Amino acid sequence: MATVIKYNVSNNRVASKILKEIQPVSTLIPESRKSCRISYYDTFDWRLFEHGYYLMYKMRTLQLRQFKDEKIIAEAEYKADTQNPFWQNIPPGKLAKVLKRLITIRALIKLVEIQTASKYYRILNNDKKTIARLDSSVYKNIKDKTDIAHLFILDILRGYKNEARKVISIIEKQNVKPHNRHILIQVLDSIGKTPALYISKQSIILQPHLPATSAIGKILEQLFDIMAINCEGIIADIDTEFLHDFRVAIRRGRSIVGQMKNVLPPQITQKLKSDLTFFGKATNRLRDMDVYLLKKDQYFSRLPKDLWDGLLPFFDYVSCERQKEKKKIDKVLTDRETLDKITYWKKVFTHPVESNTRQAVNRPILAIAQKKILKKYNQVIQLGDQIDKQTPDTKLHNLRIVCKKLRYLLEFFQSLFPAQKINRFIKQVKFLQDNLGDFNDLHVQQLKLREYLDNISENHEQYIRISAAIGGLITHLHQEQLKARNNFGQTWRLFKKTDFRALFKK
Amino acid sequence: MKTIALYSIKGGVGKTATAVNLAYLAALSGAPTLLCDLDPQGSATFYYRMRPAKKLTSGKLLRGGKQIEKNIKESDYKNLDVLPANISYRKMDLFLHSMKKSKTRLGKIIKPFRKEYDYIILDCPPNITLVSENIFHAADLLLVPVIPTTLSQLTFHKLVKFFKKNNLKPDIIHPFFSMVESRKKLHRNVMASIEKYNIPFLSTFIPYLADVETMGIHRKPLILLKPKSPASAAFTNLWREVKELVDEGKV
Repeated sequence: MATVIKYNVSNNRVASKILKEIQPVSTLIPESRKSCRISYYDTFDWRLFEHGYYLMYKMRTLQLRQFKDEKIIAEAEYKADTQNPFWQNIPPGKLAKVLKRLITIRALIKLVEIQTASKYYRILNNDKKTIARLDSSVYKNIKDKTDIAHLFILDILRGYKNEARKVISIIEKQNVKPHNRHILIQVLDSIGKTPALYISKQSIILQPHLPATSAIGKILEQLFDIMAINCEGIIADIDTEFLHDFRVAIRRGRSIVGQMKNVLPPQITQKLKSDLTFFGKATNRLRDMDVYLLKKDQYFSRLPKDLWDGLLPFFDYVSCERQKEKKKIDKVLTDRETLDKITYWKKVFTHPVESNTRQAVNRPILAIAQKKILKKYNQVIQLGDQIDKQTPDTKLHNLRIVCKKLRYLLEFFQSLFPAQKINRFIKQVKFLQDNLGDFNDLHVQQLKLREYLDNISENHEQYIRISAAIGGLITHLHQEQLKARNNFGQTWRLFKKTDFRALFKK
Repeated sequence: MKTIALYSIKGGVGKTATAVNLAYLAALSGAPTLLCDLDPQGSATFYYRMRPAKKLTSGKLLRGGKQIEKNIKESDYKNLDVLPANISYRKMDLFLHSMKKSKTRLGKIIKPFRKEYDYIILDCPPNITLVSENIFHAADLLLVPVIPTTLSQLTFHKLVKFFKKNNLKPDIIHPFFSMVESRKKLHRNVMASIEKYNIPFLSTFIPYLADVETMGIHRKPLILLKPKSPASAAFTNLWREVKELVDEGKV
């Protein structure tokens, strides 16, 4: 097999010196030169990188490649006319299909744009037979025109490794060592970006004996970090996940503050609660509109084609409302006072929170986590056991809320428990929560659609068609809700199959 | 994967020139191709600017596996690898005689390369020996260059007779006229009597041209060296015919 060795040549001077030294030993024939612009894309949360891929755009072609061997997974011709394309903006075909699976609802963001200038050479032996090919490429950052890297890629032909040794030693004599760092990683490094697991997916590692205040402070610090890094994307309106992650951080923050009342000083708890509520309320309606737009295709698919035109005014209304809400959020998130709130809290939790004199503060976090989780777990069991087919819906809603609190506690404190067991339990809780969540979502959607219908004037020229479409949709959602309700029994039995309470007992 | 052998009992009929050009054309079509130079003279090796495989003696070649893998060399052209010749191949018969299943040995050592290559092209030594019998068993297609002369005709008949006598399948034999000089009456007459043969000739013939000999000076396939030469066109047509036979599943 051919052997490919990559070298990171420090600068053009070293590169020229190497080429000069190769010439008398083996004939070096310049073959061709090429220069091109390359842009690299990924989602904000590095979904492609996480799967071992990268997306590059060059010469009007988008290519999804594998990091480990550069293999092209899929490619498509593409006019880069959208700044942050979704998979739907890619021409239909294999690439769009693979991206749909990998990035789902996230948009692609241009990470960096570079310019490459490559010179290709052939290295010949005494018989004028090619023994290796050499690609000497300079990578420049388009933005500031700085050199990022100068690479030598030596491709030794099969059967000529021995003859190529002379060339290798000339290169390595210049203190240039083979390196396997991917050029994209090198490029990102040069602009201070590091592909990594997205912060919201990272669970905080807590030491069991860490005082409770410090542990809660660390968790809250991370939540405010998530809020801060998502602001820009919300304002730029790149995709709906920025707002979603921002709001999840708020919900998680409110949950932990509420459940750990005795740990943080009361004045902090109170102010924190009010600030988080402010952020939550400010973003509620925009998220609602986002959800409707995300469900647009689903809604249409639930109705016969004849009723589709009755649904169009609803989505026009949603788009219009979204625009209005977006403007409001932009104002909130660019307001100095709002930004100061996030910065303030990040600062508060960067250092250990000054504790009050209460006992709970100095207790190790493990003991508190065990106690709180066990309490919520028991509460879930108690509420769930009471539910049968006749139980009113409100009880299911209560169970959903308690279940959510339990899930947040488990996620915050998972590093304190054996990984395999805690992950199994989280999975089990998630399974139950999915059923309860579906039940609740379907209920809320029906309510909101009814509200919309109530506000439509009977004189609206499309009143009948709108009523038919919304009515049809509500009926469909109601049927699905009943189905979710009927599934609860089986979901509950599966949830209770394994008892994890021992995990949280001292 | 198909194994195509360029074979003739007679020497100097244009086997190597054809093997070198067909291998290049096969690779050019995008198919990974291996050209095995089995002729101890090593002319195909020379044309591709390679040196003989010093360590790949007959004994090692016939053991197969890693010994062969280690000696395969990448040519200057995409998709084309070459297994260079070794002078000791002249004694290959002796080795084969001392081996079990001595008539099918070559086929066996080629088999592992089926995954890596779409075509294996064998440039065979002249004569009719145990090595030749190995080639008959290993090849899916035996391309036989025939100069339109009486002697060449005679040797071709000998080959067909050998196939019949030894219960070999004559379907793999695909003769074609080589080194044709249309101005010679004898050549024209021999080619006109083509119907006499029970085995059909391929419709392409390779003309006798000095262009073909320049391959030895420039050490390149003629297709690259003189793409407009009628001989280049003939090699291209020959490859097209061979490819059709393969694609139609006739071999």
